[in-house]
Amino acid sequence: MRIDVHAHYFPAPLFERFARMGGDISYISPAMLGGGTAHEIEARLANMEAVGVEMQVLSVSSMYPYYERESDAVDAAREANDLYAELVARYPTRFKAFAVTPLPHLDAALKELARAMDTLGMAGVTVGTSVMNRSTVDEAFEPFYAELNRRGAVIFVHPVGLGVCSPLIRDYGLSWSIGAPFEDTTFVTHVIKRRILERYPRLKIIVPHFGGALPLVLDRIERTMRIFAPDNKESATATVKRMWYDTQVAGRPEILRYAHAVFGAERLVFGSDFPLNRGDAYLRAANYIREAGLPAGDAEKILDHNAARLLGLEK
Amino acid sequence: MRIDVHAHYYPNAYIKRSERLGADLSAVRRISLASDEKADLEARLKMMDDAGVDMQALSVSSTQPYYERESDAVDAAREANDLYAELVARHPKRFSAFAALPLPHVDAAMKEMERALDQLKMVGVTFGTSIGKRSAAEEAFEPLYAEMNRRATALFVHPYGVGVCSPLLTEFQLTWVCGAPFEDTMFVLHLIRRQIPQRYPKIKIIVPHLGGAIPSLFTRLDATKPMYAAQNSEAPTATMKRLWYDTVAQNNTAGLKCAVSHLGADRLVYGSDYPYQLHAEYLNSVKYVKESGLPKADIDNILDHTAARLLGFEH
Repeated sequence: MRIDVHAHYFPAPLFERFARMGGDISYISPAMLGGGTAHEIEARLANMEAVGVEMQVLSVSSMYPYYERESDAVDAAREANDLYAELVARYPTRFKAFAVTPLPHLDAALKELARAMDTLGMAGVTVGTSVMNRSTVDEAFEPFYAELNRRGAVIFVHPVGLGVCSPLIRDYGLSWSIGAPFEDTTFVTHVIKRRILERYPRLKIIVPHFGGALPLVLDRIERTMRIFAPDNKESATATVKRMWYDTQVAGRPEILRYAHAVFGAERLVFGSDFPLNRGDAYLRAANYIREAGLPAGDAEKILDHNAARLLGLEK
Repeated sequence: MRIDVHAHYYPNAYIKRSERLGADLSAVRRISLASDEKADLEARLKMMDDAGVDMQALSVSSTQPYYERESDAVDAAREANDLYAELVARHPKRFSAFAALPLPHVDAAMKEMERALDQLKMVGVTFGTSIGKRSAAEEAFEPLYAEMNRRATALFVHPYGVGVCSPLLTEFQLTWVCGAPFEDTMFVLHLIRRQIPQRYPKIKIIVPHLGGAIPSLFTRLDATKPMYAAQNSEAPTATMKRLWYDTVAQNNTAGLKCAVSHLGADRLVYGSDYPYQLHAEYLNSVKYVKESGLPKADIDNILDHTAARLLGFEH
């Protein structure tokens, strides 16, 4: 069953609110047909047909409801989750959704998590690679991960587009070219350092873009574990191999081979960044996996099995 | 001729001065066998012999002579370059050196570049990936690039070690683990933004660690070009092929192969990161290239020809 774990849905109220609250929506354009009109949904479904994608698991991209004032965060989270649940309800065999939660407000986040998972039936949660300049796995958020662990929840991580909070990246227009992959990598290193998966082993974390620079940096982390994460009971590689990595990398087979060599086929799941990649680019996002010359059966695992198993949709 | 383009040297007097001037010496303090003491130099030469390395092209690593007060910067740069030149004079067949410059003081840096290249006969220049918190590709530094272009100089870039000024890195002990390769990639993007390789094509720029995340990103940088580079500029993947990249990557064969497949084997040059890889690790820095499975001609060029040609030891 072909599932696209990295696909976005941009209904107008979502990005309008995000922009009103000062967020950057410059990467969204009407031509993407990413919104909620009948025409746009039809176009999305047609794209999915053309690429053999049975289901997209939708997420808000970088438009997280992370605001200082709790009511702002809660309102944004509720609206996003309601909008997504509404689409899923109309096409339950084609769409699922990752819920947003109003971090850093812990109690509110736990409440919205319960509502989203139990009442709205969402497939998991999505979190940003940072929460208002704080680590997403900050100590203060422990109860959030404890609850996600209790549920054995799927967590889809996505860059927040803040250039890993670096002025040398943000102020030079580099937030989405190198900043976002760096945010993915940094998130993984925080998970290792805070021993999140040792303590919450039932979490199923999906990191986009093969974890950004992770294929290079893993050896470096491993060599520094004695100083970086001395209390860890497992190697950095062992922790990294408890997570999953999506394949969205501008359709370049060499990069897939690199990630495959480092992580193994079992850890890779198909993702596209639809609708930023649509039409031919959407086709490429899937086909390049088959063109990478991977060992027999691995491309199929990555495209058609790993995500379904992860989400409990394959027997 | 096997030249190790990524090797550091920490003469005691220069390190003491740097300490007095308030430099962060954590990267220096945690290693050994890198000073000007007889035993250290003998150990270094023996390791080079064992690895078949004819020559190391030495640089100051992150301990650049970058100080706010011009006289501090000038005195430090002069001392570094004098001490390096002294070692080269004693062992001209085993060592060459990249000149450190008293940035951000442009006039002083121009003067010291002239002295280092003309009088001290140094083999090129070394820069940090940023000059403090400023991009090394800033317009203010343009005269340096113009001069290096006029001279067709080799420029060895090295992470400055500020974790791209991101608290998500610096406050989590990730400055060298992730920060360093991020800084390599960031520097390349800064260059691309200002079209420096195109406008100054005679400079031979060497970027460490396979370019950091570049092998994992590559075509993403073309896809996101409108966000950071001029519309009429060439594709970033084309600009990246104007630079060279050293092979320091902790035995990451998959990374090396990915870099070669994007950039071409002729853009790779051997480096070790001495003294951060010593003994068996130093040997492995050569071995992993030899055993990479790349075509023999490519391996030979990477290890024994390209750097020698770049630095003018082979024609």
